[in-house]
Amino acid sequence: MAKLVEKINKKSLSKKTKKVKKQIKKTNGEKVEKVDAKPGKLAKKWRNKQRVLLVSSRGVSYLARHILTNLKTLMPHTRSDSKFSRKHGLQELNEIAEIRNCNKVFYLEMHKRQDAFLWMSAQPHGPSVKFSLENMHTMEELKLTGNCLKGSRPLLAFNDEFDSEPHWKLIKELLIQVMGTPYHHPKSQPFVDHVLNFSILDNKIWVRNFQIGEELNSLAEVGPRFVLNPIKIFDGCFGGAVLYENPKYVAPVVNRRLAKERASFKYNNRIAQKLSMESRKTDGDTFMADPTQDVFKV
Amino acid sequence: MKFKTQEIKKSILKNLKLIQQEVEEQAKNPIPKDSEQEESDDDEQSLDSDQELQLAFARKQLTPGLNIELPATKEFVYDKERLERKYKDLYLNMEWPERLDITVPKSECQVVLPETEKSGLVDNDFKRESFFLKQAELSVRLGLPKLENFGIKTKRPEDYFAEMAKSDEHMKKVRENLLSKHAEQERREKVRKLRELKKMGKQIQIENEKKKLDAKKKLKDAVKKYKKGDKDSLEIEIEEEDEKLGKRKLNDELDGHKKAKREKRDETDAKGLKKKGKKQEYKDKKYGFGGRKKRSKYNTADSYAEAYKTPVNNKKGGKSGGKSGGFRKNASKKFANKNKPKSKR
Repeated sequence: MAKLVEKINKKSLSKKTKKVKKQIKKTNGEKVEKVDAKPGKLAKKWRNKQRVLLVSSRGVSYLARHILTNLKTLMPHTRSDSKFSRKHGLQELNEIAEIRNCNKVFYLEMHKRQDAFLWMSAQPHGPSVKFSLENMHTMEELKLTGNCLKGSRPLLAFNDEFDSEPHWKLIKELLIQVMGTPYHHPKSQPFVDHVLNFSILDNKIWVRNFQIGEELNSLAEVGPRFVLNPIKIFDGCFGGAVLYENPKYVAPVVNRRLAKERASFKYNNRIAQKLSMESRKTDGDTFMADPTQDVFKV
Repeated sequence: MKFKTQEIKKSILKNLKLIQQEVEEQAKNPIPKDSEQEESDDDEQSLDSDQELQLAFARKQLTPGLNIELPATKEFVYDKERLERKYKDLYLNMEWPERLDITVPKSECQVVLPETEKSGLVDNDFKRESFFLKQAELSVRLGLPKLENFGIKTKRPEDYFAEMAKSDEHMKKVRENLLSKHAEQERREKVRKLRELKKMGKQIQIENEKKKLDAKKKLKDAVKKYKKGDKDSLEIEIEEEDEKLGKRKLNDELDGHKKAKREKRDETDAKGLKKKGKKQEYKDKKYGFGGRKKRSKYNTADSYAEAYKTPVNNKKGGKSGGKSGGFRKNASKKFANKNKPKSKR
């Protein structure tokens, strides 16, 4: 009897392993190595080798710097480099990424120390996306009460609006690969204890990070917070043909100029109004008076 | 300034006059106007020079009237095909536990919000954040069973210690901030309740006074009636009223006594000093209170003796003088320590 049971067990086991192998073949195709997987479990091997180069340009403000350090703590698969000088041209970033053996680049730059821009690019064939980075809040703010493990993997939550149009789809895929921590990454923790929340509102991507609490519905925000406003999508890395341009995007410089103009209009308007008022004023009589009225008196 | 503005006014008035003259001249010999405004079909042709204008007119591309050059509308690139292709190239073809992405329908996140206020979602902080929270909650609800399926843990065991994204020090700050906010809110509520109670107290007082007046009136009426001879038994009523009044008087007196006592107690503490307000107490604690300020730090014979007194088997050093300042205490201590055997080190 005992032998029989063993045999049956072995048979079922072998069947299971075969199934798993087949599944892996189906899903991964040729790219992935064939691994001897135990039944019911995936192989404990680091296969998704995403490496992200996390760089900022020179002359970023404290806020951007803090956001970057926050992201560094949350994303263990990043490598950082010294601040990049914008003089050299963005193409040089590709070389740095190649030297650092990175296949994604996360580059933050700032113009005039106030307008932040974020580049995400896939090496070496692109695409790359340029966002404007708005409404930044760091993880250190006291109103953000959550906490998570350093280097734990996040769930990536998306709106279904990300699947509605091709440019959103592309951005979603890029976000998954850049922001998601690979399974079994040596620097990562083996738990999923926070959610990175991406939602499209007002044609922008709002990014939030929540801690998954003990109960199902208790989420506490960990931070950082920011908004990504896509400007352009390029075919190559940091250049190439433009695939998408955001028609609703207005550059912050233009916005500021318009605001100034509006302010100046206000002054000009006021002066003109006063003058026109003066010009419309009539001096003397407002009706045809008879000059002889007072001459003859009874 | 006045002078300047006047100058400006003059110049602008001049300009206005000139414009008026022009308009009048135009009115005298009017130009035939067409309401239609046409631009040239070709964008490439610029209509800057007179010659070109004339040529365009000859080609009947220009009609008489006002012609305004409109700024060319920018065309925005949107190459859907190439975007799709790029997406396919970029797509990371791996199992779900490698990607961990979850898509939540947007409509389900908006259920909480009324449709009429949809436009305010972006500008209203609270609504917006709750919208994001809802999305995250939904995704967690979808994601947790999936993770369990693949055997990925979401909770770490209690004996698993690892560095957190935020340090313990920072979390302590966060907690303190929360607590202080909570305390502040409680304090506010208390004050509000007290205020309301005060209002109620005043109303009760007014009512009591009214009752008193009523009682007096009744008594007066009773006396009047008795005088007229309507009633024989005034005594009973008077007695009753008297009793009531008397009692009330007594009560009032007692009350007054108590009140005075209470006030006294409020004002004075055990030593018979006036009690301080909380603010004053805090200030005293911070800045010190009482005593002569001048010359308080001078050396005196006593202080000198105190400082250079030889310690007699006193581990704590010399006794601290009652009036001597803090630094003197330390001085004596220093001195005491000097004479201590250094065996402890």
